[in-house]
Amino acid sequence: MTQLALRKLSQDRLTIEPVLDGSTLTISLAGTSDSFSVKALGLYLGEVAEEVVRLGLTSVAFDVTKLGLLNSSSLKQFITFLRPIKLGTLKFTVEFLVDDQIPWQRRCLAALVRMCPIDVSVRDINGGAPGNGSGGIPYAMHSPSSASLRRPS
Amino acid sequence: MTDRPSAPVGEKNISLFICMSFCPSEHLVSAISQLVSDFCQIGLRDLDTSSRFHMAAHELAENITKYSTTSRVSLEVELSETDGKHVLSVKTRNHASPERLLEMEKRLNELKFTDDPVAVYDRMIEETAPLEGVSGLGLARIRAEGGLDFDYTINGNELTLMVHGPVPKPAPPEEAT
Repeated sequence: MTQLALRKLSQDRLTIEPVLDGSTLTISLAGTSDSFSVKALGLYLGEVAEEVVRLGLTSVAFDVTKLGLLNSSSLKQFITFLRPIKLGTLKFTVEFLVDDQIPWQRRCLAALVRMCPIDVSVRDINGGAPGNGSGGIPYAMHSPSSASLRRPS
Repeated sequence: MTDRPSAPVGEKNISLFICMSFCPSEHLVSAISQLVSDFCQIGLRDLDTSSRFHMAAHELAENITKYSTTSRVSLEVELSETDGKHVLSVKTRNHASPERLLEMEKRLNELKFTDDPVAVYDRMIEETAPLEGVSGLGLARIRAEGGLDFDYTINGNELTLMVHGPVPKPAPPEEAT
């Protein structure tokens, strides 16, 4: 059995938990990723990259469905993580698992898909189409949204 | 939130206004942005809109906390209606160094007037990717990801920055059970 070198991390209001199931590594993020956890997130992502290489994995998934906020400094940590993939120095794919009932998740991560369109994807855990993670067209704020809060009947 | 009759043509009808004036503190950033988000959800009952303004308020509150050169900053939230169009705005005020103001002015001008905010955002991601410890993406994110517009004024060393966007008609107040 392969020993995963990554451990669960709690930093301020962010929790990061790794699970290795066969050859599938999933990193779950929960809580809030803001200025109090950004450094820990960056270091952790560095360890994830090392672990993917050490275990010879071809993909890693980040489950952000329980994440309430990802500030721009935290997003930058993911940009740093993905940069070697974009430059071709690391070869693995990255899938972000989002909950399309929480509209910001796909919208936020769309920038990472545009950065690495071949190697990064976004998938709805509710079974929605994977797609390019566009997260909707900006300025569509008046469009009917399935994510709108509904009054209880 | 009050259910007021429409204002006369061209007149701005403000249905809610919140102003927070505070000493810059990282510990307040999440609380403030959460307040803006809660306010949106209660008033508009639209998760998409509230998540855009939650992100915007968080980025703006982080910016004024990080770059203010004085011990007093402010953040205002306003929901208004003009000629049947509803707009939500978040306005921040802070003093900053001349160097920071120059940089902000350049960035805000580009973001305010671009026809393609997503392309500008992607370019900024590309440019800042090699830089360690620098995000520099907050404002571009508000414009591109949030789909919100900017207005700003610089008066001396004071920067007033307003982020705004159209929102659905506010929901009528729910009756308490």
